[in-house]
Amino acid sequence: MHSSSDGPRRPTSSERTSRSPRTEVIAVIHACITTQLAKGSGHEVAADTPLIQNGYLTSLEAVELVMFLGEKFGIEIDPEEVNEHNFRSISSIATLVERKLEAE
Amino acid sequence: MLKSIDEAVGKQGEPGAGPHSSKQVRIMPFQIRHRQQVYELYGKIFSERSRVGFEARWEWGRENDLFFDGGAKWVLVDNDRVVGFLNTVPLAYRIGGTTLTAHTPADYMVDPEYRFYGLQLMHQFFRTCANCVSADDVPSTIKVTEWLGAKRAGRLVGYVKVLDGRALRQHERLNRVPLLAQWLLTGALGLRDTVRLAGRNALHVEPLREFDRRLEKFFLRISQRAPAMPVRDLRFLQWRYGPTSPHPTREIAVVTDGGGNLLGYVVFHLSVETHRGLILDLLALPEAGVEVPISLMRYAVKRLRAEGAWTVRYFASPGAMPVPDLRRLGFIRRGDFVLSVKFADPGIQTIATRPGAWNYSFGDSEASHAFI
Repeated sequence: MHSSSDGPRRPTSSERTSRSPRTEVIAVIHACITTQLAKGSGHEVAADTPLIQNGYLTSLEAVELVMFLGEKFGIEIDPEEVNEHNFRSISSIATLVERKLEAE
Repeated sequence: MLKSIDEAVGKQGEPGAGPHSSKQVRIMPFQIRHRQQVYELYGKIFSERSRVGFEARWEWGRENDLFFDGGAKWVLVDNDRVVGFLNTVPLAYRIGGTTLTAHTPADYMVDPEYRFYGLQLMHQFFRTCANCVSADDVPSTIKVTEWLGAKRAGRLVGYVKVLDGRALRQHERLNRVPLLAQWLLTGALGLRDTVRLAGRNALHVEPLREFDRRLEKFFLRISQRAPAMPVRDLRFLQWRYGPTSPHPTREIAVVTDGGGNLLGYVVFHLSVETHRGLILDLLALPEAGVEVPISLMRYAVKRLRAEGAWTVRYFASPGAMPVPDLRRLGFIRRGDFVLSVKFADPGIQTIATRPGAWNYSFGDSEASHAFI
């Protein structure tokens, strides 16, 4: 996961994937989770793998993921939205991201 | 201070375990019936040994409640089982001429199998406490704190001074240095300090058994220069460092002028178990000159060495002591604490986040209680 010092730069409007199809949103979240959050666990993380139930996502990692998604998609996720329902799986996070993008 | 988020959730939460497919996790105010389970959770996450200290500190907090409000506390429960806990420590602050109460998060802990839910505790803290002050040294915890709305207000710059070669035993990579080398290092460090700490112009430093009324006058003068600081009145100081405090073995020393007025003071403490000395407070009137804090530091280091300290830790507020002098006294940089604040009143928040606004000591924070 990106730290505050080497975090991703804010994308320009043309670079933002705000109009990307769901598969692309899922791919971005999947890449973030598998390369950073579940790194070294040796477990396959599919779109519907339960992230919280399987212990892949701590609260800190959820915050880091939220920050990453904010930078990547130009969206803002409130603390209230970091809950078991929205972060249950990659698929449910993608649904949250899509909902945010549509609300823009 | 919060423990590291990672540390405070323990390490044994293996991904894939998935034992809680039917979690019924919710947050609720702490009730006395939860106390034993909170103790057990602490022992599970940290260690049964450190649990003893935690229980003692808890009892101290109950019997010595400075604000008589008990502080807000929450538990995370799965059905009726406690799986997380967050305490708060209220303190009075004077900011921009206004006195108000702010809370500091403390004793954060979450069962490793419920790692995701810890955020609910921190979110509850920032949602409930109108005014928040947090001092922490763990980047991940600071990141969460800031994401929840706190702003950086200052930094306590960390320093350490090695007094004894045996300190290498506590070092992750240097703990296999031969005994002979440790002895030689101890001798060299002692010789170096004999020269460094001699201080031709050292002022007379006087040990003080208890805080007295002179401190209040001293802090009044400090507060005229610092727009933001804790209210360090005699009641607070007795609570914080008095004989019944979590630091009953602390020592206090002062430098005074010809009329008996305080020019500066230092509070320090030695953990006999770990041989770690800690400078909890070191404050001097800016107009009194740099020789005051330097003399106080020299005194504290000498006393700690005599008592058996292997290292001395110090977290310096900006301007508390000249950095070149700290280096001359043998201190090296190691790990800072970041002060983050969130005040409900926008005007107060503006003052509290101005660079250099704070006069804040390590001892002011709940953090130092963890060093008992």
